[in-house]
Amino acid sequence: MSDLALRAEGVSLGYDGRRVIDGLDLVIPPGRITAIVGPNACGKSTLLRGLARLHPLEAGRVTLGEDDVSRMPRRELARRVGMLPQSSIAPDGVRVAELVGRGRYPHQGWFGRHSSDDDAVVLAALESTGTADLADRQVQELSGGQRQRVWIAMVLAQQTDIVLLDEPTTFLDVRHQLDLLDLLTELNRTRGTTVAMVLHELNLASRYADNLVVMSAGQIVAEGAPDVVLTQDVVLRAFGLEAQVVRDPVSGSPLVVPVGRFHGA
Amino acid sequence: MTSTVDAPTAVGRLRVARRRRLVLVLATFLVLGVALATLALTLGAASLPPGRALLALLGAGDAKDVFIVHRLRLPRVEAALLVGAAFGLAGALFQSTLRNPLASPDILGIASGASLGAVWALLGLGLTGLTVSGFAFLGASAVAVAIWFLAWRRGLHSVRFVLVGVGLAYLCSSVLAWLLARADVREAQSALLWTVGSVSDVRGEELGLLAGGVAILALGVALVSRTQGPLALGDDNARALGVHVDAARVGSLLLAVALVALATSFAGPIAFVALVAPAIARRLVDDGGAALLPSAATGAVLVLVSDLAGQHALFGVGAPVGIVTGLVGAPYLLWLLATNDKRSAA
Amino acid sequence: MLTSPRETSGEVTRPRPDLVRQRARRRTLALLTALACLLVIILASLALGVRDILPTEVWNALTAPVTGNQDHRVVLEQRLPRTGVGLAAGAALGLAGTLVQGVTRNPIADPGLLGLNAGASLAVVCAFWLLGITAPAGYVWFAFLGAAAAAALVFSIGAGQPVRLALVGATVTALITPLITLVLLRDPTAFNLYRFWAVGSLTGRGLDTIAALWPFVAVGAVLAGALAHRLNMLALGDDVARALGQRVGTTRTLAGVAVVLLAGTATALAGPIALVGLAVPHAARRLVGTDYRWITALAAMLGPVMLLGADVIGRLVLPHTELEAGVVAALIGAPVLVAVARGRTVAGV
Repeated sequence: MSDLALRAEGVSLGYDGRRVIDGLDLVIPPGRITAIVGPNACGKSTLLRGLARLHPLEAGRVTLGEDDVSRMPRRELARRVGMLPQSSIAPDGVRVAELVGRGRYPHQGWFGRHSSDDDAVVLAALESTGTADLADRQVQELSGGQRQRVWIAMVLAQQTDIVLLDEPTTFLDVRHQLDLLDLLTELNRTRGTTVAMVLHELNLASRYADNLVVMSAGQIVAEGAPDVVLTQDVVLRAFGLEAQVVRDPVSGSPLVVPVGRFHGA
Repeated sequence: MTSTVDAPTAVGRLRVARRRRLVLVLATFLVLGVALATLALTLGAASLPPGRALLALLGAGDAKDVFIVHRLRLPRVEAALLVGAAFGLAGALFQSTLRNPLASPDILGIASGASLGAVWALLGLGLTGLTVSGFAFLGASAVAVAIWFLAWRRGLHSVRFVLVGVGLAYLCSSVLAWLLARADVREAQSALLWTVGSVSDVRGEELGLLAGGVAILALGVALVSRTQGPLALGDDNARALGVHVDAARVGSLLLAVALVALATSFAGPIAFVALVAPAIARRLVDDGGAALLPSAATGAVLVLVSDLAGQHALFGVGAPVGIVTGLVGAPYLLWLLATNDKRSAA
Repeated sequence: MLTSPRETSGEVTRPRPDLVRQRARRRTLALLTALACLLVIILASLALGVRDILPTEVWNALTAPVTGNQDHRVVLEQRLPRTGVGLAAGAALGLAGTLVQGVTRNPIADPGLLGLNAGASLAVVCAFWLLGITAPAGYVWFAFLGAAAAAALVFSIGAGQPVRLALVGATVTALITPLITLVLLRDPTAFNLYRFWAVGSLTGRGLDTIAALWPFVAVGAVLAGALAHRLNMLALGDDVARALGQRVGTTRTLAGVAVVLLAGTATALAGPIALVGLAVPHAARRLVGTDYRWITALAAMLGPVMLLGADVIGRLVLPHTELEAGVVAALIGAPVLVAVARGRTVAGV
């Protein structure tokens, strides 16, 4: 449980001299679930990579509490902030327990010896993601949903207070998407883990996030509780999409119902 | 804090089982290596029974036996083991760091660079002896440095590295062919030995240099070895786990290049060991890791057995070890490729 | 890297006639420039060398040869066959490289990497060693058969898995090379013959050899041209190609046959030439974009430009002797490949 916020101050990010994000400020509130949504190529993944120091900042800084993230030793950062990049591919022949065990890297000494403490953490991560039965299976043999759970278990084994995930639900069917988001919610509720993720599916983001960040063209369009943020106007401005916003009959969160060209008025 | 004597968890049991398998593999190679080494000491023009050979190894027994064992046969065995271990280790490092099972000094042109250096020293400059080894070392290093600078563009991207390496390999072999075509036919033919690799002439001072170098580099490998697991997950994942990706990759590749340069400078570019040994070792250990130590062991045994076969079993007498490793290693890899459907090599 | 999403999406969503026309003009210009270069290099190949001959005298030699004229004799007996070899082998290598890269979707694939050069070399060495054949007209057939056998082995093991094909090719090469070396270490005569073949040269082949082999190049070229459109679809992936109604297996087989015909002939004619088959398609792609119909056409011209160009340069750089075309081609090709590697962003090998 941590009460330190991950904070971006005047952050600029880009590729080959092309700015994607210019002078952006953002706070990832501690102990909450933050979802970042936005149209394709709006810079949401780049922002997340910038927060996790996977992408160099062109300007500004990212802080964790009082500390400047870019000056922190990498391993210390890895003990405090976990990150699951988009579509990770497991090396050939690696087994589930071994892959999850690699999440222990930042906690291990020079020669990377596993201790029984590490085993306990790995087991806990496997159990909380419901993959303990798969421990001795090869990652390649697993289904998409199982595989994604295993990767999440690896990030959990890292034992960080903050977990960042880049589109963790890609390639999963509706049920597995819900399972996964339920799992992350459970982590957040039971351990107080801060979760920040890029999501594609607006309505899932709306349902699961405490804090919703809507981006468009490298800018934050709106930010705050989904109830407040997710309005017809915001959806139009961010996605250029005509939509009605109604109440989700299950969760009570806002539900975006797009209009399209052939239906409705 | 749980102490280490606690009942092992399920994960711990799996890990212990994997470790046991690793130890078993290494022990098998150790036994195999000792047996083959003993065999190598007994075989030859003057055949010694194992007892006499071992006695001579300890410095006792007949003076002629001692001479044969210590001056003629032991250096060759030691050279084979050292060179094989160096190639195996270097290949494993290349393949795991560049995440490409094709990445080996043979394909990347580093071995051709060594050949070219040595052949140029022999045929172009008329040098002999240890200086030729020096030129082989320079050739391998020059190619590695060239790949480095040409492939470096905001970081070391592995596809670019392989592509540039392949180009340089072709370049080196073309110039090599030209050097061979220019020279006096008999000199050219003896220089040909430097294009296949042989451990028959590594002894004395050279052997000491080789052993010292391999030991120092192996120590370096031990230091970078723990980054190999995270690196295999991809750059982003490795960074997120706290690895300095560029530094780790540069360090691993430098060590791999140094190992290859060292081994080729004394033995020539022994074909295929760096490519095949890690492939075998990874299958034997089967934990999805880089299998550094098993690769070194596999390489050492592979070169020793190939040298023995080349000396005593194949083609009459005295086929250089590089020929045998190619003939043994290539069919193995082909078989692997033909029978293996989805996994490993591709 | 074979398809540029930027380009396709631009074309599909908003057809811009002016842009399309501009691109077509650029491609035509590239093709015409290549053709002009080719003509210049052919002329240079006939005129330049240890003895420089005026273009008018070259023309006379070709149209109205005078017996006893030393210049005419050099043009007809030495430079004409040499130029013919360069043309046929260069075009064959350019086309073969294009096919191999297209079929495997692998930017480092070239006929040499698929084991063809090694197979040809082994067969030639055996011809020297066992049969004592020394005349090019005799051993070209061995080179051809060796290349075909190696290709058949590589394709039969690596078939259907484009990435694996390169690995199998490298392995077969590594299997054959020690066999060659073993023979060479044993037999000085074979070694002496082999080393001049292995360096890759356009000299010493008669017009009769070219006459016997050019039909293979022609058939291979026709096949390559016919396959170009299929390669365009294959570039989008096997599944997409299948969904577009293509029989992927047939394409691969036909391409394999064409590669053997082309690269086998090239190696038979000029020896194992490195990097032409690798560099030419990349250069062509840079000039005309991703459409294999244009790449194929351009590669057929750039191949001879590169090989003959290398040969002409090799005649001029050293004062009293020549540098073989194979060496010069590698010296030119390696920087081209490095430039390609540096230019690309991220793509799987």
